[in-house]
Amino acid sequence: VSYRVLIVDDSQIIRGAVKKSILMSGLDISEAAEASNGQEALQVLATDWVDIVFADLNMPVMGGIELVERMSKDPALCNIPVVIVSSDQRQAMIDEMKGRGVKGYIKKPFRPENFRDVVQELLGAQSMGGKT
Amino acid sequence: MIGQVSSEELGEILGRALEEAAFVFVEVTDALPEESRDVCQAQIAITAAQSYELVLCSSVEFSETLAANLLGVEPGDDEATGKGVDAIGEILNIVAGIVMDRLATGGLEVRIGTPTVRVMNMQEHHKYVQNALSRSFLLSDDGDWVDIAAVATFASDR
Repeated sequence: VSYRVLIVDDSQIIRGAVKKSILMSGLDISEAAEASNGQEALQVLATDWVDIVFADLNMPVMGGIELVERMSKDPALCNIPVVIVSSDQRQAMIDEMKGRGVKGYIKKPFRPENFRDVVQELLGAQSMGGKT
Repeated sequence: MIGQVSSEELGEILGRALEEAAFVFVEVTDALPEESRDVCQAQIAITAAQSYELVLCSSVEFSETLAANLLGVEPGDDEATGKGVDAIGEILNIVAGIVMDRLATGGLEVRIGTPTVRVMNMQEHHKYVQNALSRSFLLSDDGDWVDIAAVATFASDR
C-alpha cells in the first residue's frame, strides 16, 4: 500500500526538507502534494484524496490549528489525520493541540524516522527499508 | 523576559539548531571577521514580559550552504540555489522555538511571530544589533560565521 501525503508550510525550504525526510524514511509514498497555508491545503483536499497531512503551526492566511478545526467539521475530511510539524517545543502546547484534534506532533528539527514513526502509528504503514 | 537568555545560552541554542537541522558544527568565537559583503539578517518577534526580537545573521554565501544542508543536497545544487533567505529564517524559527520553551518553563506566557529576512550590508546589521541585550558569534569548521542577538524592540536607531 502506498500513501498520499499533503505537506503544508509557508516555507518552501521546509516543504522540501519534509518531503525529502518522508522519502528517506522508507515509507511507500505515491504522492507528496504541497500547500503554503491552511487555505491552500483545503483547496488541495477538495480535489485530491490524501491519507495524512503534515502541517506547520504558524502560517499566514490560515495556520495549522484552524486547518484541523475546518477539516474536523467536514465529513469528507474529518478522518484524515493531521500531524503538526513545528518549532514550538512546549509540552503544554502539544497537549493542547492534541486535545483540539491534532493526531501527531513532530518537532523541528526533525529526522526521517520521526515521520516513519508517526505514519506507522497513525496509518499502520510498513516501511520500505529506506535510509533513516 | 528574554534578557534571561544569556549570550552563552543563545550561542548554545544556535549551535544545537545548526547541528541538528543543517549538520553544521560551530564554536563560539570572540568577534566577527572584518568584511563588507552582503549578509542575510532574519528577525523574529518574541513577546514575553516585554517585546523583543531575536536577530540571526550570516553571509549570503553561508545562508546558501545552510539551504543545501536543510534540503540534503550538495552546496551549489540547483534545488538550494536562491533559498538562503528561507534557510536563515527557518534556522531562526527553530532557535526561537527552543528559546520560547525555556522562557515558558520559567513560568512566562510567551508568543512568537513569524520570521522575516532581509539582505543588507554588514554595517547595517551591526547598527541594528548594537544595543543587543545578549549576543553571540559562532564560527564553523569551514570558517563561516553566524551572529545571533536578542534586541529590545524599543531600542533606538532603527
